[in-house]
Amino acid sequence: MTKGFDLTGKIAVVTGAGRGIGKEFARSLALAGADVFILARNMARLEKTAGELRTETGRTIWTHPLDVADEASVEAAAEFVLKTAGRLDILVNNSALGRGQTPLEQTSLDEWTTTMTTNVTGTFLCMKHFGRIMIARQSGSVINLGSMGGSSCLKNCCTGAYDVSKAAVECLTRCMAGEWGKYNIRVNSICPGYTLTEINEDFLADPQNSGFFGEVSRAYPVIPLGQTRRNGRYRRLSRG
Amino acid sequence: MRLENKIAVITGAGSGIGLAAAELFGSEGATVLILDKNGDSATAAKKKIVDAGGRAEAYRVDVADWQAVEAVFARLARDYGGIDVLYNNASVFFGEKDAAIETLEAEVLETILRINLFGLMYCTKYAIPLLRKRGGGVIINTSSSCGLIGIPNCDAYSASKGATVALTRSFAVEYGPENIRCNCIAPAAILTPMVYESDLNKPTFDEQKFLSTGTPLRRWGKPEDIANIALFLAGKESSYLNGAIIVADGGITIA
Repeated sequence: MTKGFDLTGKIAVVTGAGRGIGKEFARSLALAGADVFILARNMARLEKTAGELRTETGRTIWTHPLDVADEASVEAAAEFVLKTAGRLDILVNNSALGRGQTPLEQTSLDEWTTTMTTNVTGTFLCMKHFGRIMIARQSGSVINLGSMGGSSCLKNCCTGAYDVSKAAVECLTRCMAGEWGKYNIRVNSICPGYTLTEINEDFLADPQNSGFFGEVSRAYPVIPLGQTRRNGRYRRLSRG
Repeated sequence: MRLENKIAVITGAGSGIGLAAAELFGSEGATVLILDKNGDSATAAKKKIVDAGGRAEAYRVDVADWQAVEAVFARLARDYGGIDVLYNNASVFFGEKDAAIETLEAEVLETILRINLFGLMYCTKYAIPLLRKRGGGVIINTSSSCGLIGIPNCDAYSASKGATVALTRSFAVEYGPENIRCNCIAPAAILTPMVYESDLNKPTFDEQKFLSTGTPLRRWGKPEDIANIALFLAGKESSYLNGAIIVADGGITIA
């Protein structure tokens, strides 16, 4: 990391940071000099990730359990951050449920609701409780995770509930950017395309999904898949 | 340094955002090729970069003149072989003459489109072969809040900036397979000479009201705010961004 991304002295929270893109967010923030709270439901995995990041970056990495769908859990995590660091500069709302492969007409209300609760309500709850710490200091940056799916449709991929949830996150981002600007808090979202992570490596290993990236590359014949780590263990897939 | 061994062409680099980007790119190791229709500004920008220990060259060119653009890129091909970055930054805003469509004079419309839109297309047209020679590269376009939302009384400028958004997406799809990424920055309310032309010089413009009610972050942006985004787009940190429109306006377009 170079001087353009210097975050020395900053405190960051990354939700869903045990693996995948969340872990890479935490790594990048720490490499740029921030001390990072990594939060997720799976504490065993979180501790393992924290150990790796401490060794690699030399920064302070705190862990705390977080279920973004449970307001009491979000409140407890926010309290932990406030008591431990006394401030918060960066919030990355990364926790999300991945995309299913169920056609909408077969999607259960439970699957729909669970996706909305984690992805939309979870982002709302984290912004509400972690945001209060930022508002108190009149400073901060919130980074939400939208998706390519929030603004376009990939036919035959059956990701309606997920895509709708991400469109809602982008709308929430715009609303809060308007409201929180006066507190000097910036709110933006990143909308990644298909990114090779552990989560979809599992998905890809399922023979049932083997045609998935063929479909993707026909729809978006532009550049190879993004990857969460450069020179990491993730391979870069070529087109077709 | 993030742009070590990179060759970056920046149009309109003699002042405002372009100058801030030229200085930043220079400090990050790039050889900065400054294109500006004002030869003195271009030379002064070059001097600033060179005095700071960087590498730069100045070229006087009017981007609205396709023959001049063709000639300058032919010269760059001869002198440098290829380039890594084209930052299409040159633009004009005619505060007095640009207007709502009904009162907009045809000559003014044509002049603005010729500079803001045709200029971008000419530069891109002649830069593509030079980017290709280096095995790929980056194109950075400059739109505006006017390209995204309705802003009254500058219809020629808006037309050019809306077209810039469309072309960013076309270029991204056309040249992505050749590892030439094209992205766009859409700034607004950046304190440069242009903002005097668009806002501050108008007797009816109420700066306090504009900042306190129309601008969520309650302040003007700085040229450096945009230059930093351009640096990000020019560098490898943005390697999966292609066809993106990055709005940098303190929140004006969503407010």
